[in-house]
Amino acid sequence: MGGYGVLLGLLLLAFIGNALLGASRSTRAVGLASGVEFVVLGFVLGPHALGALSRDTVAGFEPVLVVALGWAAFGMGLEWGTSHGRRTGVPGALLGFVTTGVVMAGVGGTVHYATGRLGGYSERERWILAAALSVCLSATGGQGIRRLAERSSASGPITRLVEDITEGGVLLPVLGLGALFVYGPTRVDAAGALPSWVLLGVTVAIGLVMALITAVLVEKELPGGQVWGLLMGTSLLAVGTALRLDLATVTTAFLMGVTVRLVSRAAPAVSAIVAPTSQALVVPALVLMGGMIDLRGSGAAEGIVLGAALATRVLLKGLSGAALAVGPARGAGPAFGVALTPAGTLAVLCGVSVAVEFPGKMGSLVLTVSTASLLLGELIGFSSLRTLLKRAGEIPEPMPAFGGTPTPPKAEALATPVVRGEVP
Amino acid sequence: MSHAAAKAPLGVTGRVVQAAALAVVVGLPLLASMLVPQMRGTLGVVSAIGFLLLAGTLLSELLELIGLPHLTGYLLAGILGGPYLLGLVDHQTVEQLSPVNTLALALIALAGGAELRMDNLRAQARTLAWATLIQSVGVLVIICGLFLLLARWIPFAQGLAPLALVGAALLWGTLSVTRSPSALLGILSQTRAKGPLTDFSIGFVMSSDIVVVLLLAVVVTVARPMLDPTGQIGFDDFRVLGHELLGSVALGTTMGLIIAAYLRLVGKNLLLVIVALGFGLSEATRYLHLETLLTFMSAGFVVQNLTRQGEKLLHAVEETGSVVYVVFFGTAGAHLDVPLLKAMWPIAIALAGARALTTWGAARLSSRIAGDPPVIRTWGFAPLVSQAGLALGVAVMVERQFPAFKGGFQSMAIGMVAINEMVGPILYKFALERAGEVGAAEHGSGPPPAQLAAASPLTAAEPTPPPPSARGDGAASAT
Repeated sequence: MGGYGVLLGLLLLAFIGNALLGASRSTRAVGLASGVEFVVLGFVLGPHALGALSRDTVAGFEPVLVVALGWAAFGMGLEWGTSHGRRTGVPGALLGFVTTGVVMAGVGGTVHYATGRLGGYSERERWILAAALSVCLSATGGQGIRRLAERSSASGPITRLVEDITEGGVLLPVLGLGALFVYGPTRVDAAGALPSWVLLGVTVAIGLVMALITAVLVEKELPGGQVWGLLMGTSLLAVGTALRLDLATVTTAFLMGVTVRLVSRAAPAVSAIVAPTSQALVVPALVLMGGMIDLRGSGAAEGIVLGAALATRVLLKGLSGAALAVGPARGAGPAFGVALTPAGTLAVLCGVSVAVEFPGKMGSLVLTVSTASLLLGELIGFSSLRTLLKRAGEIPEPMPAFGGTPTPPKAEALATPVVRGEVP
Repeated sequence: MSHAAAKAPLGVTGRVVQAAALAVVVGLPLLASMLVPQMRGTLGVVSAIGFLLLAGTLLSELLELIGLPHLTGYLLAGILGGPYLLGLVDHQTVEQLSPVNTLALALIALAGGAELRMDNLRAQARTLAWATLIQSVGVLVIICGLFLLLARWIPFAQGLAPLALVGAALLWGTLSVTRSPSALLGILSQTRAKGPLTDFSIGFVMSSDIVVVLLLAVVVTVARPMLDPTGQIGFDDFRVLGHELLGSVALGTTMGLIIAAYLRLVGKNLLLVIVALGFGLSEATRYLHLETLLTFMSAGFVVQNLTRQGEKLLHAVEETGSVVYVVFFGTAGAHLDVPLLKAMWPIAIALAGARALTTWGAARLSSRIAGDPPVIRTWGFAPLVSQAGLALGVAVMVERQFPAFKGGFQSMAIGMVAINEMVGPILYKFALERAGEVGAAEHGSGPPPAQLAAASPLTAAEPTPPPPSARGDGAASAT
């Protein structure tokens, strides 16, 4: 398939993505919560199956992919700290921060140990792989959980706690990715002469500076028609500068979003512009992610790393959940941790970023593991969460078709949740 | 053009903030490029577009203080960041931005076609007919003569045999009658002008594209045996031309009807649909050897005049204006060969000046014959001075057809177009101001600022068309 054909295909996917994620309530009910089906579609279309997407074509779309990731991360940053239009609860967010940290450490340690035992990786590669997988596998997929909550009209303390934990778990992987990009690549240019802490500071500083410019200019431009161009400009310049310096674009763009949200009065308006488009862009990014997966040269060793990393994630999420179930999530049951296993947009952002920065065996393995974690989360995570919320009475019973007395939904559930991207 | 409400004028603080932001926007990527001079693969495009968008927007805002049009700011941002000055947008990146330019040009042509209204064209038929005849044939002939007079100072014309010189002069004359629909729409987008001069500019410049295509085919056929002694007049070229024109109009009409059906039946995700259409149809026209601009103009014209979806389409395309014009003219600025212009500026200025003077004289004459109102008689030449992508496209085509010029024709054309590209928009904006048409389309049009969310056209489910008062009188002006 030629470049233009692929581009048109991606635009069509963005159209579908917008319909599924941002448009009407009826179309939002279609598709899997994590969007993993689009990764599978990309893989099927990619060089390993049908060959409709060649490696060169996928590589040619790298800028589009990078822009999509940056825009999505910017959107995530703008929305960070809110769930369904309400502010994230601090205790829940702290719990999310801690549990994510635990999973990060666990996955990183396991991967480092496993690759050491298996051999075939240099010490530097082992560290990079461990760090990359820990970043990709630590968080819980917030967007999928919000979609599930919306579809099933879930509402209640456990739903809120899960959302808070999810929001709290975003920061560590994003910052971890920033650190990985500072310490991971071998730099031969002048930027390599700078101390790592300076580069880490630059990752953050680019986001902050561009956010301030966004805030100042957008506030001045609000009545005019140039906001769209300004937002695209600031976000592309932030992402492009980070790219040039081999820094984590996702971290920069996310921090830019967070800063705009914190400092600008125009943040809700900016969010109303960015959120729906960032949702739509995630779908083509997922397909390209699938097309980038390269299983050549993968063998038993890679399979073991994949299994070990995923098992550690599920185990640690399970244990964290069980611990929470005797505390703040009382009533959720011991399976609460399994409900925290869905992976989402953040895993995609981190996985693709790593694959672009570290192409080859390592990048592909990280992408494969990220996809597998999306799939696993889809299979066990969402169903567990749905069951758990039903059992807790936070998902209203469906109305009987004929006869019988319909169970009145809880007052909270009656309120239509505010969807990400919609102006409350 | 843009339906967005005008923003309040900025104070000194606002301008200082903009200048500071511009310094950061230039300084940040400059610092990064000093640290890491080379970027891997095609990723340089990302920061290049970001730079052009931001620097272009900020520079245009600052230049507004001295009355310069926004397009000049976009162009200067491109020149500043381009390969010959700061190098933030290098040669490779400029080439890689060509798909973005293709899209921009397609959207501009679509908007241009949609700005042409039948009733307006009918009302101006006499004016447009005389202007087209005199501006095309008259200017071509006079420029030919001037070219022959100046030939000894024109590098690529030196050493040509007399007959070949006439052939080159004819081609140069054709190049001189090209106008810039993109510059016209860009200025109207900023000034939100409405009135007789605006109507005349839209009607003339948009239809001149078709005239140039026809004229070029004729001139190439005539000039071929002059420049190449073994060549003959081949009437086969006209068959190809007929196929090109009819095919373009047919494809454009079909697409226009499809767009109208989509707008009527679905009307959502317009940005995505327009972008897909821009890329897809451009590629289709390239494959079918059709005229891209004519195809898109036909599509826009059909939607505007054969259906009731014209305002919706215009609104959707105009929402992209804050990105499309900035990137298009920013890239044009980055493309500008500054060393070449430096080397041949005296003759380039002479040729550009001769063209401007001839255009002015032709406009006065055609206006007098057609009995136009004073505003068109005085300022009717102003929108015709700008040249941009279309002229460069003609130059590339001429070079391809006549390799004997060894790139000299194109280089000279770049030099002249660069001057017209800079001067033309300034002149046109000045003319609109003097004609009192600036901002006239603003009254009562545009959504209130609260509808900012609609600034994301991707999700603008049902774009709000401007109230009938803005355009309902049939004026094809920009709103």
